Amino acid sequence: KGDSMATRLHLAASIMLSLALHVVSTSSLSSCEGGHVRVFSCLGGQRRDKSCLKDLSALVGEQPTLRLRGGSDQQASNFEEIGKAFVSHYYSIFDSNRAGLQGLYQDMSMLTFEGEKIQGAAAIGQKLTSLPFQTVKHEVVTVDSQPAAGGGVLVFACGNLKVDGSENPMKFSQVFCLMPLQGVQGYFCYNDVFRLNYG
Amino acid sequence: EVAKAFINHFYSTLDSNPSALAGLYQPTSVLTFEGTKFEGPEAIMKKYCDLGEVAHNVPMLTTEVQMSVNAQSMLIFVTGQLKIGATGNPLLFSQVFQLVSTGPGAYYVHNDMFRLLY
Repeated sequence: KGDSMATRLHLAASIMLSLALHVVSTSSLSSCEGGHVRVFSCLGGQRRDKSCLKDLSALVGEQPTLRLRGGSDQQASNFEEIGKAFVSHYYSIFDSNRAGLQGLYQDMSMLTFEGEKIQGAAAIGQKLTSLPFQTVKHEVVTVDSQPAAGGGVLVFACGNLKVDGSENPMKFSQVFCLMPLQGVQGYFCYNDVFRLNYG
Repeated sequence: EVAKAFINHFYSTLDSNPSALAGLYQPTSVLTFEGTKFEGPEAIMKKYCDLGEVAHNVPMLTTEVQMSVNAQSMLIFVTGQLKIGATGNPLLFSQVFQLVSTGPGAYYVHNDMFRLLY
């Protein structure tokens, strides 16, 4: 079991996550555990199977990056889709296994969480996993995306969140600036600012 | 610092003389106001002018700043209250700006996104 786990992680790390806009053909991967096939067909299609994403974040230990289809010339015009896809991906991982979020950041990434400034993927991952609740459920109400100066995508999400099964939703807003990865297709989170909004 | 000065200037201008806002934007600037996009200084300024009488509670605004990847830009995230008209109830809003530097001490707004928070 340990060996196959290492293989799975290796495959996932080298192939990367793919939040494809069309179905991704993964027949070459299906030799591995059923988990792989389920994950990719889930992400490629319309289904939003929570258990799929849970498997995914468990699988991807090394380098869970957000990768979207489309050539580099399409990136600018796709920013709406990029923003929506990222937000959906981000909060699904947050709500199911937030340790998996770390891979969306790099060493120069910055998070400001309710006024506290944190830099670097490791520190950010540490902050997010040590937040004082067991479970959280985000409900995104609005997502606005714009092309940012410097080739990135600025994403502004607002919504509600409930912590540890509480009945009372809290309003939140979060801004992300996504930057293209070097050498491969995909984006990582460079800026992240989170605020709870008290009425 | 720069961000605070910008925010003070932006909201005071918006509340008193919105037509002066045009100078803060360039042709590549984009505003998304409650989900609708406006491009370029004229369209953006017109949108702000069309809001009518609005008052932002400037001293109570929370402002968060982060530098962008290239040191010439910064991300500003503002939350606070505003009132529409003389007798409106305070509404909670959130606004995101990306400022880009065109020279020492000179910035323009490249990205602007506004949302009311219900």
